[in-house]
Amino acid sequence: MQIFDSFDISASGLSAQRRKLTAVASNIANVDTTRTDEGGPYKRRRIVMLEAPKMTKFSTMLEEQEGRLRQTELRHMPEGEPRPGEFFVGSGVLSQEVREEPVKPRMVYDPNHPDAREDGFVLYPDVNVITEMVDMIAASRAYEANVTVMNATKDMVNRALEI
Amino acid sequence: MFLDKVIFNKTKVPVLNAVLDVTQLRQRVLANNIANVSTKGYRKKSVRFQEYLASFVSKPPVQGQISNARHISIPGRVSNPEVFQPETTTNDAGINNVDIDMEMAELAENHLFFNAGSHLLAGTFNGLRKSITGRPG
Repeated sequence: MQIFDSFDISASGLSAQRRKLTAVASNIANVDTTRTDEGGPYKRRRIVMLEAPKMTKFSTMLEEQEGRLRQTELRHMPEGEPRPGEFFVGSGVLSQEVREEPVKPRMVYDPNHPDAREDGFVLYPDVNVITEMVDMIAASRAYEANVTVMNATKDMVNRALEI
Repeated sequence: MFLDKVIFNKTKVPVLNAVLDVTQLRQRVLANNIANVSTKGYRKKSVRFQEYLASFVSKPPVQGQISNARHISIPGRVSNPEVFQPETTTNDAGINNVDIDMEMAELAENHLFFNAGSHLLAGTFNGLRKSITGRPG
């Protein structure tokens, strides 16, 4: 049902923003990490968002397939542009995690550090705490916006039940 | 259905039905815009709901009569609310064209619009019930 799709959309937004917050937390926690499993200093985690391509729900796909025209004869013309009203409404947001390669790692001269290089410099992660804090605030506001949408949808469904 | 024709189609029910439908669609579109607020390169979507609803209350300028089976009907009513991508410039952040304040305002408006529609629909049904049974409730 259409109104319940709104919940899924808002939920995808919530989960994407939460993921972003987790990445920020991890970046700030690892601001001084010089040693990782793959070697070298910690690499900044970044969440990339993209619009979810199509509803993967079975019912929606079935509905779409049933509405499509089939070519049963060679002389049939192929189906053209989607008819009005069939415009893709959207199904939320997808998020992917990317490990950023450090652009300019922080170099600190500390020859006694166990991870120091031959020349005495230690490589620290390329994490800017200020950028992370800004990202955190943006993500938490976006999260709140999605919560508001969800509450509005919930209230609408409840109202519909009172008819 | 016969009952539809004599009872419901004479009342506000079809219009209010359309109001609830279109606000639901709009809610979905707004939810999608807000969920994609930090998606790079996303283009916001919008619903042409005013035109759709106006086609319920205003009569089309020309009305046709179908007297032959091969006639085609003159389209009077906008059959479906249209979802489109408005051409607006990017917002201040420059990553997409979703203006979160506008979206939240539209969301609040849509919410109230739905509530008004559902309230009126409930009232219409109450009125029908009253006239059928002859007593309130």
